[in-house]
Amino acid sequence: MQKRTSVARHKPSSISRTEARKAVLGVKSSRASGARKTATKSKSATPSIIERYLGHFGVGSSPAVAKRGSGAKKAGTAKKSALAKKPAGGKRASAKKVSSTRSLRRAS
Amino acid sequence: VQNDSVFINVPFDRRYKKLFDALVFAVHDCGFVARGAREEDDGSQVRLDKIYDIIEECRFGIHDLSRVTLDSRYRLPRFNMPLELGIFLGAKRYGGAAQAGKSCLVLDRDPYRVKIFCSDIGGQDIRAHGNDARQAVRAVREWLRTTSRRTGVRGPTDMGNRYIQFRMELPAICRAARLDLGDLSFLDYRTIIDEWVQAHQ
Repeated sequence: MQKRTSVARHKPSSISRTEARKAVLGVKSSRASGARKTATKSKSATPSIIERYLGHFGVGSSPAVAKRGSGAKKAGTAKKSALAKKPAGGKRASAKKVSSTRSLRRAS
Repeated sequence: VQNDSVFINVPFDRRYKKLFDALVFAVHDCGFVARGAREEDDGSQVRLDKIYDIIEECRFGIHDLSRVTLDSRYRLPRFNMPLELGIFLGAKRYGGAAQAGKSCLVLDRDPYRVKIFCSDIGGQDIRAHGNDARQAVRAVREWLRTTSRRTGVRGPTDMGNRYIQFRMELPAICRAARLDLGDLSFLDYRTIIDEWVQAHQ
C-alpha cells in the first residue's frame, strides 16, 4: 500500500486528530477484547445493516429494488389491511348475536 | 494542485446522506482526501469563491448529477452540481499546465439521462449508480484506482465490509469523542474516517 497523506494539512476540524485517534483506538481495543470474550457471539453485519448503509438512496427506486422490495411489501400490507378491515371479534361477534337470538326464542 | 485531493460534488440533503457518507469513506479508504464545499466555514467568503479554491486545489473530482430533477415546488431543476462540474472542466481546459492533469468521474442514476439534459458532455463516460450506494462506491473505487494508477487499493467487497464495520463503530467513537452522531460536521467525520482507516490498515 502506498503511503497515505494526512488530512492534517487541510482545514482543521472541531475534534483534534489526537482526540479522534484516541476515540478510534479505544473503540477498536474494546471491541477486540469484547470479541475475545464472546467469540461465538461477535456482532456481525446483517443484511438490513448493510442495506441501511450501502443500499438504495435518494428519490425514486432502482428497478432491482422495485422488483425485490416493493412487491413483497405491498403484498404484505394488503394482507395486513385485509385483516384490519375485519371487525375486531369477527366470528365471535356474530356467534354472540346468534346465541342471543336463540336464547330469546327459547324464552318466548 | 494536491494529487491526493478529491473534490466531491454531490447533493448534501438528507436523502443523499447515505451516498455522501459512503463516498467520503471510499475516497479515504483508497488513500485520498475528500474535499467539499462543506469544509469551509468562513462566512465572509462568497460560496462560489470557496468552491473555486477547492476545485483549484483538487486533482480529482466526483460529480453526481442524479439530482438534476424538477423541484416539486418551483418545477425547476437544481443546477449547482452541473455548474460545479462546468467549473471543474473549465479549470482543466484553461487552468494551464498545473490544472491540465485534472480528472473527473461523472455519476448519474442511469447512463443516458445526462445526454438528454446536458448533451454537450454526452461524449464523456457517465457511470450509472442506479441510486444504490454500493454501485456508487464501486464506481468511485474503480475510477480512482485506474486514473491514479495507485497500487494496493482494496477490492470493492473488502471496502464495503470495512465501511459497514466503520459505521457500526461510529456511534461508540462519537461517544468517546463527545460528539453528536446526528450532528457530525463534514470535517469531524473526515478526521474520524482518516484516523479509523489508519488504525485499521
